[in-house]
Amino acid sequence: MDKTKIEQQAKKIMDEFLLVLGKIDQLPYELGTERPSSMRKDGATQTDNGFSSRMLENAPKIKDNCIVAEKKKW
Amino acid sequence: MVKIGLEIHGYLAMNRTRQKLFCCCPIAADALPNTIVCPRCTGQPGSKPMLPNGEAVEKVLACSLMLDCTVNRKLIFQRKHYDWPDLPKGYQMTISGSYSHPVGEHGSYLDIGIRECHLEEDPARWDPETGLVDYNRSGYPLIEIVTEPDFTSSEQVKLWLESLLTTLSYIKAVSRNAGIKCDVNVSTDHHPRVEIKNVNSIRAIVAAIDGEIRRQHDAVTSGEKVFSHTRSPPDAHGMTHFMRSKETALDYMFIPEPDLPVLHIPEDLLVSIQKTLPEKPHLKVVKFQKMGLSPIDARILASDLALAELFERVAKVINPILAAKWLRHELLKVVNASEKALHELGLDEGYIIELLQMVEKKEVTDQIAAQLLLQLTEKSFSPRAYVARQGLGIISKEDELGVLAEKVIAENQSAVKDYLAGEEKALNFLMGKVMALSKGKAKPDTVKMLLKQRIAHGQNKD
Ligand SMILES: [Zn+2]
Repeated sequence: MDKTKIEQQAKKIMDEFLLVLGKIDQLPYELGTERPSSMRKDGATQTDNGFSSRMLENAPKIKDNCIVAEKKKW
Repeated sequence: MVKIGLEIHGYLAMNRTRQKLFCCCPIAADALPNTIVCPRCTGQPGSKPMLPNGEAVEKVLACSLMLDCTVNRKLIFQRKHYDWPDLPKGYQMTISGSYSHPVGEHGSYLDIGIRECHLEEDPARWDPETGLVDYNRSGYPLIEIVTEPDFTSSEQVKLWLESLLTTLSYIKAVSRNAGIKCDVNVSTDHHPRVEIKNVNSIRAIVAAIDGEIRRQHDAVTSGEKVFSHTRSPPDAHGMTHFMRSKETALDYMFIPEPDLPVLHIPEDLLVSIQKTLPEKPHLKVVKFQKMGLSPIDARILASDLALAELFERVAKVINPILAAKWLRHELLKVVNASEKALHELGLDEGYIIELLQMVEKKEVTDQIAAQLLLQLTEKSFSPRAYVARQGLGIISKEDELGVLAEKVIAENQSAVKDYLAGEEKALNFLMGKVMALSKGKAKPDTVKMLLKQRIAHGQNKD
């Protein structure tokens, strides 16, 4: 299947999804997940010190520690 | 007729936790790009958000209450979808959108309606021109304050925003140094509204509004139709440009965030925040003016909570006008020179009051008191004890000062001649000499009187 066809189909699916979404005025609260605790307390610690270098190593192109996104694509 | 509405985004000051909204990455403005990141805030496949940072929730609640909003106690995060490099997940987590109940709504601040206040995460810093992306900022907690279109001029917007920022700084909710970003909606003569995106300073907001009013007026004059759309932030020449037709909530495909539970705001949290809220700055200005202060003094003293509260406590024991003069002029001069905030100087309030009481009772000259005030910002000591120890009390005995005046007259005969020839400046010169000899301990009025007396006396003798 060629790229254009996939794009057209994806757009169709999204447009149909949008139409359905547009008909919903109000979501019932029951849809939200209920948990006893809903906020993070002070003192939480969880960091991944090696992540930054792994992310930059995997980036296709970096400059001045920034990731270079494809230009003019957005 | 002009109608203007604002969507104001401010960085919440995470003074206590210094953590992002949905992960524990630290908030550090000056970090090297892409070094304060983790799988969560860069939207790596399989990563899930942590529960929202409690401090960020508290700050948004405090802002909502300061702006007289009704607070919703059951909040649902939503996914707001869009597809740009600054948003690696493909959606932003926010308490706004089609099905949301904002944190605060139906508020009002200085006669401008507040439609809603909500909490959301910041996307990355992305420069569309160079393509460079820095994800350090991804997941910083942001507050968005949406006003009703109640403004009618750029000047009104400017004054209101300045006041709003002061109010939010009172509760240390928004980090002022990080600046604000504003989407500005302008509608003239009932035409559809035009939105200018991401205007990032009050000055630029004023320029964007004035420019858009002119642009809409010119468009109508030349027979064009004004249509609803979004424009870019002003460029280096202050020009905005067409970006896209106005997006609707539907374009963002809001859906409830399945990875986060419903956010419940406990009643006791709301009550405890309400208790800590200070009086609003504009009410302090009114109160200070009623105490006899000029509008400008009142405004300056109310511009910083620590200064305003110091003034209120000092003015309980010292004449308010004298207290205002010293705090607004002399103390602020010292604070500004120190490049620190007043609350960081650790001033002993009791000693400030002691010093100003001595000024009020004319036990020290203004000159000496100003020097002591400067020293009080460097170390803590009793000004009264210091003045007694160093013999810095005011010289009020006229015979002591008279000797100094006579010495100065004898040594500066040409200035005396100039004064007698009608040059007032020459008298100031002589006064300066006497003040210097007295090491700042003489009262200027007394010195002036004595000099005039002695010069006249000398003339009579001749
Ligand atoms: Zn993170």
